[in-house]
Amino acid sequence: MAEQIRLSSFPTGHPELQVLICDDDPKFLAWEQEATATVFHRMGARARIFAYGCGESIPDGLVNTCDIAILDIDFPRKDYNGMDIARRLRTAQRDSVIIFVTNYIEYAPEGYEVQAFRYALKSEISQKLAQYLQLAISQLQAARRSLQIRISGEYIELLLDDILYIESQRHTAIAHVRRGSGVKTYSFYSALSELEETLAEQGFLRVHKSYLVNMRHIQTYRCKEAVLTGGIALRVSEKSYGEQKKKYLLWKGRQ
Amino acid sequence: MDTMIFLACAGTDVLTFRALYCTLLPRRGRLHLLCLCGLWALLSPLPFLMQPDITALILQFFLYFCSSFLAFRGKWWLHLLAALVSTALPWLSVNVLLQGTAAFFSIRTVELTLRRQNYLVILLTGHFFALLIAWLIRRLQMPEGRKLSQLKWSLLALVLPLVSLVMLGVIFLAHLGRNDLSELAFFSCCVLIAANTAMLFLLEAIEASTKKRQEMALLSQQLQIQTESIWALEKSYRTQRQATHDFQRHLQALATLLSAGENQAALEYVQQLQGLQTTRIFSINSHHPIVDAVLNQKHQAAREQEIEVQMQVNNLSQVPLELSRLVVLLSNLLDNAIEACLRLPSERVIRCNILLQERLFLSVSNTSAPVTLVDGQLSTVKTDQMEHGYGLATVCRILKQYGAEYIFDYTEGWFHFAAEIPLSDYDAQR
Repeated sequence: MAEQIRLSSFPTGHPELQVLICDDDPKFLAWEQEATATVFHRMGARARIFAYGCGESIPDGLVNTCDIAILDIDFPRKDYNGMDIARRLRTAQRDSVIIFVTNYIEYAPEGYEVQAFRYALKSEISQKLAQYLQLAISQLQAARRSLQIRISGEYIELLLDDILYIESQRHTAIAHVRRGSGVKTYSFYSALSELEETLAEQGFLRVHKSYLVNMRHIQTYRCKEAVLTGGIALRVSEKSYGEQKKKYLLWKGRQ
Repeated sequence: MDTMIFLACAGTDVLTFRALYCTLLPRRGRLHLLCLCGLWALLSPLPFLMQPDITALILQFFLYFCSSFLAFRGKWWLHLLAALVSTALPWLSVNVLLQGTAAFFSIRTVELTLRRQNYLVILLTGHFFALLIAWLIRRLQMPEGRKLSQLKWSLLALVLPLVSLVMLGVIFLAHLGRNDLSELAFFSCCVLIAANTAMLFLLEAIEASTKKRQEMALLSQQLQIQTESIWALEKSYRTQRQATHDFQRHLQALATLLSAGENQAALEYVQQLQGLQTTRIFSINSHHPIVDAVLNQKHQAAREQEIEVQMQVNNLSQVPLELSRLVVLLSNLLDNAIEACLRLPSERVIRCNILLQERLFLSVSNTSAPVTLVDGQLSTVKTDQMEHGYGLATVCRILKQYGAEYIFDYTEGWFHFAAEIPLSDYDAQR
């Protein structure tokens, strides 16, 4: 049975994007809110924009559903900074896009920890905002793509981001999917080569004739094995290792 | 007694095989040990089943050639070369020793072979001598896993050994059926062996000389980078001094306004100051001071050329790489990216990731005009090959020294470089 990839335009569960802006400068905050609304209007995208002058007033409900966050880093009169707000967001939402807008950019391990998408100076954001928001939407779309499979007559959607790898056993494909702290498997009829063709552009790599791996979940990839999130170790093809490793490196560099 | 000696000879042959192969080809891990044991088991009965003639040699060659693919990875012609040398070396060694001993004692070779005890001693000595030569080659030649860099030079280096083998074969055939080796023939054999050994040392000397030249170029580049860093630091100090001086002046002006009760004027003055830009508004803080110094300098240089730079770093304080090489690596990659961006009228962007995980991941992507990649390498546009061509060539050399895996690519207006550098020799072999 052929599988389909469904590309969702906007996050599931919400008819429009949830955008959070947080800056302790009221004038700049107002400008950001207006500029962001203008950009989305021009793009024809529907978005709800929430603006806050301080991090404490951001409700948990918004933190759990935020799609894009535009955050200042420095909050001089507070005992927290934009990184702390970003950490709170990242803990609640794995795939929300975080853009830092600040007077002083510091590329540091904390930014990597919260997976900051872009940094921009306040003096330059007017030129960059439209571009960054467009890129942010593309990032969200890529992160929320899903694979539709059919099991026992029912269609099930698997978020690509949750799929660790797909294994081939005879004519059956078994998707190993992250569910909470564990892994659940879904068996369906499909050739791994067909899935490889469909999912190659979505960040999946054929490391072995029996394994199609989601590169987002690769922790190490060596000539003998690939280790995925959760310590799952898979054999890899020695013959195609060189070529596949290069694809992996290129993909990782583009993230 | 015979059995023990034949088993020992088979054992030394297997070790000779291993030493020669390890010089040329990387091993396949545990499979390699299994293969060696299997080879020893196959070689041991050969002296009992066959006479030591050309058929036995050919069989031994095929055994080496076929089993080598199980134990070692690499191109087929390297397997062929190593199998040839592994077969010929012990045979040559035994025969030269046999003929030499016979000539020394002025007896015929066939007479010597009939003296069983003496013959066995010579056999064992010959095999150990072959092992010694193989071990010397291993110790003095290329390190394990390093491949021959240029095919054409490798083929040229094969000419003398192949010609020597042919000559030895001719001498052998010319003396077939005869019981002794003429002094001239014996001398010729020794000269051929000496010439081949000399050539091996010559190759090593050439490699060492090339390596030294490369290290000199590396040192020269490090010196240049350090000089640039010193000037950049001097510029930073000058800017900082000026900023401190300006800060004092602004404070004085504000104090004067506030003392005079001109609060509104003071507020406007402060708002004006807030609109001023400082030159150092970016910082990279990876917790590695040297990496930070290099990245900050390059970031500043890029910003001055209106190039947008996005960086992603994690905690690099525990990066175990040699500092000088790390500096040269990062400087060359970022200089290359900046130069590529400068050739564009607009859309100048550099994205850089340096992440210390199980291995060190390094990537630099930049917008660029179309580039030609030859064998995954960038062909330099600079005319001065000796000086400028060393930039990315140096990067590749350093990466190879660390056993890193890397890729260059050009797609849709972006030039991409990505590499993964093992953090230990053990990791590099896995």
